[in-house]
Amino acid sequence: MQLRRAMLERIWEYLKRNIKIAWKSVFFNFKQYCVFFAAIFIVQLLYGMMAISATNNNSVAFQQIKEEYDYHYVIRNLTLSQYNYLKDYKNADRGTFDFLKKLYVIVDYDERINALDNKEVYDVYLRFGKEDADDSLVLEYAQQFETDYLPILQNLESYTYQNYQADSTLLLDYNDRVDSNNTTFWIITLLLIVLSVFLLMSVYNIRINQYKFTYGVYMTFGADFKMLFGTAFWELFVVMLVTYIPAVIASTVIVYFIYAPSGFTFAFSALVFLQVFVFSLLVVLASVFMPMRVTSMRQPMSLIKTEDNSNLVSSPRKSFNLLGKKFPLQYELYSIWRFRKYNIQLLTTAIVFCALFICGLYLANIYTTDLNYPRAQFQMQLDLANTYVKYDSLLSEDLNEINEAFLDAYGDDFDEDFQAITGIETTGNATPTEGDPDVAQSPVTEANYINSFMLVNKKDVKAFASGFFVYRTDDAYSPYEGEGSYKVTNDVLYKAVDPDNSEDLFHFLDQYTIEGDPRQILESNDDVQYVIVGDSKSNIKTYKFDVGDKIVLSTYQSAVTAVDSNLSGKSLLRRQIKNYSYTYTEFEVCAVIKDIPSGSVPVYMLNDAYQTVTKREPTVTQLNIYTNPDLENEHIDFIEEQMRTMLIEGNEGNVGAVSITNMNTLAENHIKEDEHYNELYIAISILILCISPIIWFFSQTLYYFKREKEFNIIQSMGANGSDIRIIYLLGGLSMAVMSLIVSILLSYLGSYLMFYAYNVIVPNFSGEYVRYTFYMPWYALVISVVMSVACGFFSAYLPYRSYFKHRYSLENGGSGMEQDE
Amino acid sequence: MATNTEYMLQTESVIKQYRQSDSVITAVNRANIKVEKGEFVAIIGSSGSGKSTFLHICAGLDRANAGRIIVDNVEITKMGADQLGRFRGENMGFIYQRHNLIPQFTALENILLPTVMCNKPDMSYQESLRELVEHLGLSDRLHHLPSEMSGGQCQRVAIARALINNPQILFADEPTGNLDRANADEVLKLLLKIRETRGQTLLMVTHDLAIAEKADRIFRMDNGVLSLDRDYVKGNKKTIDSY
Repeated sequence: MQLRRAMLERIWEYLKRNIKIAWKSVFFNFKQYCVFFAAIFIVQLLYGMMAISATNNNSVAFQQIKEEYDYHYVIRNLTLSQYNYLKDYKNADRGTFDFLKKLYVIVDYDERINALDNKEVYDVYLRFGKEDADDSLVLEYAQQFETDYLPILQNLESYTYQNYQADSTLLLDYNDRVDSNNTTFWIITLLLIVLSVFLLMSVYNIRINQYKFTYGVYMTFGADFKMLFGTAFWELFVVMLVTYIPAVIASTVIVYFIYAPSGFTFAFSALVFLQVFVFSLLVVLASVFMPMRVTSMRQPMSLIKTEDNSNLVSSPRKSFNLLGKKFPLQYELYSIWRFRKYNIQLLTTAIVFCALFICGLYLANIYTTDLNYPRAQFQMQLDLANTYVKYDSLLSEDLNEINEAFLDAYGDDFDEDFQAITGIETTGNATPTEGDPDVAQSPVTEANYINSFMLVNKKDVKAFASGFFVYRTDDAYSPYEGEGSYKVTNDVLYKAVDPDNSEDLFHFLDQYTIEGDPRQILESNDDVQYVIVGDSKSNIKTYKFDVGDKIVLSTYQSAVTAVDSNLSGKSLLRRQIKNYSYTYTEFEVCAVIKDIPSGSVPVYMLNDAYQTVTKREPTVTQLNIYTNPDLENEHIDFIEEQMRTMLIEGNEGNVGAVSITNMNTLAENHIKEDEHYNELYIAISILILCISPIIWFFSQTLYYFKREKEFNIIQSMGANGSDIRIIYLLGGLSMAVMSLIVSILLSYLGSYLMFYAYNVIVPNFSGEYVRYTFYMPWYALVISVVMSVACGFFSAYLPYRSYFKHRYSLENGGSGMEQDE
Repeated sequence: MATNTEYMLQTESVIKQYRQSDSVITAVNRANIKVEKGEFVAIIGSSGSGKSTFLHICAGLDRANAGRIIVDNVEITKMGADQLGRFRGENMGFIYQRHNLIPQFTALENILLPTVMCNKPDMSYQESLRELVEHLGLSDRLHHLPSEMSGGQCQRVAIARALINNPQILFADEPTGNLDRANADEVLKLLLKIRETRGQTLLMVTHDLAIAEKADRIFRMDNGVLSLDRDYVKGNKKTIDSY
């Protein structure tokens, strides 16, 4: 015990001593450390906001889910006997399972009459455990219920034309959401650490660059890495301590004002503050480690020699030597060129934060777009192996009648032409596996799966588009002999359109931007067959289709020679064209969908054409049902109820095993909207933008301060004040011009990287294609450019005032030290 | 590691080259020197002859391209940056031509800098500090910034800084090169007096013959080649003038 106390006392003494020394050093050189106060404050503020909002988001989501669900589980379409078993906690032998009584509680149930046999069916809502049961217990009970009890219910009915359907609710899946949120938060933490270390390291490198002489002297008299690192770390630690409390208060206030308008509880754990402290500590440690390690490896003399600015100047010896030609010597004399190494470093470091600001706003915009993007609320699976239900005009009309039923129930709150169901997308298994019974009945087929390909006029393919090669008739076993030059690809998704049920599709496509008239596809005849096409592949605009353009689709007939099974991609397609026999069908584009999410480009054609090209029967196996985003959760429940009733009551003779899954899209979107990531990203972007001027002014002030000696010498040789002013002015103007160019370039690069990451990379992992067209957020670009140009100019020009004051003071008998007071 | 205990400093075939565009400049060419403990050795030579570079390499402030440097029987050329830094702080003192004081530190803080860098306990250097301040006449300037002192005073602070850790060997790179004759003489007198009292070895680079004649031995550096002036006899002014 005493040993422990002694150790704690020693640690305390150690901390006190180092903090005391660093405290004096920091406040003695307060002006020099101002920039570190600002930078570390921003870093802590950024992380504080992220950490507080992350924990608060969990509370927001939980509160939303609790308001919506008081049950963990819903079992639909139970028969009376199944319901009674569940209600009476019975076991397989009709005895009572006592343990079941603590396992679940029936919160509610709905009773319906099945029109076919006039028997009751039940939808039962369950809650696991008691109201105050903790999450792990609830999950354990849910698992036990699913594995032990559901099979008993199943076995009660030897055959039922309507199997029950059991679904968990968001209340049960809440922990998965928390886990997912936490994972995202830790990834963001990691990114913020990298960003913060980059910021502080940049600022610290500027400092080291200007104080190499001092470090050289330190090292002459025995300073090693440990000493240099220790000094630097403790100084920044003191800065971190000073900014810590204001930063956590500010982040709490900002996050509060972001969330307050929604009226949600503002709740987060106090541990967040500890997280912010540990985060700042890690950032400070990492930020000084590398610069100090590099400095300590240098020779003291090389550091001391740089006192004369020589480390900032590039020697003409090291100028360009392009094809034996040297850079003209007279231009070497221009100061901006002589300091090119310094200028490039400054420009890229400072402006990269403007680019990050644009990336942040881009991210915020993507987040909002993502929320507003149409996603199916329900998925209806037509189990063709066990059911007679198929997607035809009967089912289509039934689904559309729900809109009328909805208006009957809620008409007072909406316009009379309000559409509760906004779209029905027919789909199926796009990439079926061998032997899958759905294969021959899918209304969607990937071209490469059936050895098919598409020929597109060269002019209709964008330059540098990937996945294409030029089609040469000489290389084909059975060439397409039409006019024109073609490119070939098999990244195509064939989609069938049922002419008798096409209105649902057109209604669905109305959600996108379309050029041309999709309905013209119905006018296909023997002379001309129309297709509706997308213009993107992997969400990147790839085609330049216009209405009236021609495409050719191939149909595989037979393999003349076998193809090497090790081939893939374009090599495989080349070989297939050479070795396989094909027939060709020409199509005319009647409409181009501009922003449809895509992996492969979709090509919609009528059922007959689809059958010709794919040799498959276009039967729908899945319906994606889209609902109006203005609906409330209560309305969604109503629509789901209507759909289930419709399937039971309205389809006599056609009812079978159809599953309807509520994708909870609306609820998910409500939660996401209240998580306020959009506002957070904007706030964080603004903070990141603030970093740029810090770097500009810190670096330029020190740089020009070091050059004052040079200006004094020039003046002693006959230059007057206005000549010196021109040097500052030219420096400012050239930095402004370069900032303009670099900021536009980096901003475009940043935006494109964000676009590429979200449109191409992320869908590869998530499997969900949500399309964002590449765009430049102009307002952000203007802010970024104005900020960069202004900082570039003023950070160079304003030090002239300081120099002038200094000089004026010397010339008038002053000490010249006034500027430092 | 060398084993000769009689020498404070030994160098063996030290070479330092710089690359400039297509050519290589040899600043120090196979320089050999042996300095006994307590000896005062001066290196003279014209500007650009490589004498300062050689001194920096001997003091471990710069790295040689080839050769060995042994200080007090320890080969410093094999040391890593951190080990060399610590060794330098404990065993070597350095005086630059320009005082190279840290401008934001007072005279006292500049003097005590090596004790801070070497984590010396407060009590260990008090006696040395008192002695140096008294000998160098700095007692009324201790709390002044370098900008508030004359060149001679700054250089005296720099000497105190080099001596505060009581190093075994002192390296001086034209320590009076920036001072007028009167100040130079005074500073040198003080430096030599303290060195003698403490029995420290001194390797000094200078092109001031009046200073060099106070050394026990003189080496000449000519285009990077170091050679002993065998005609020089301490105290004989003629041998120096012939240079």
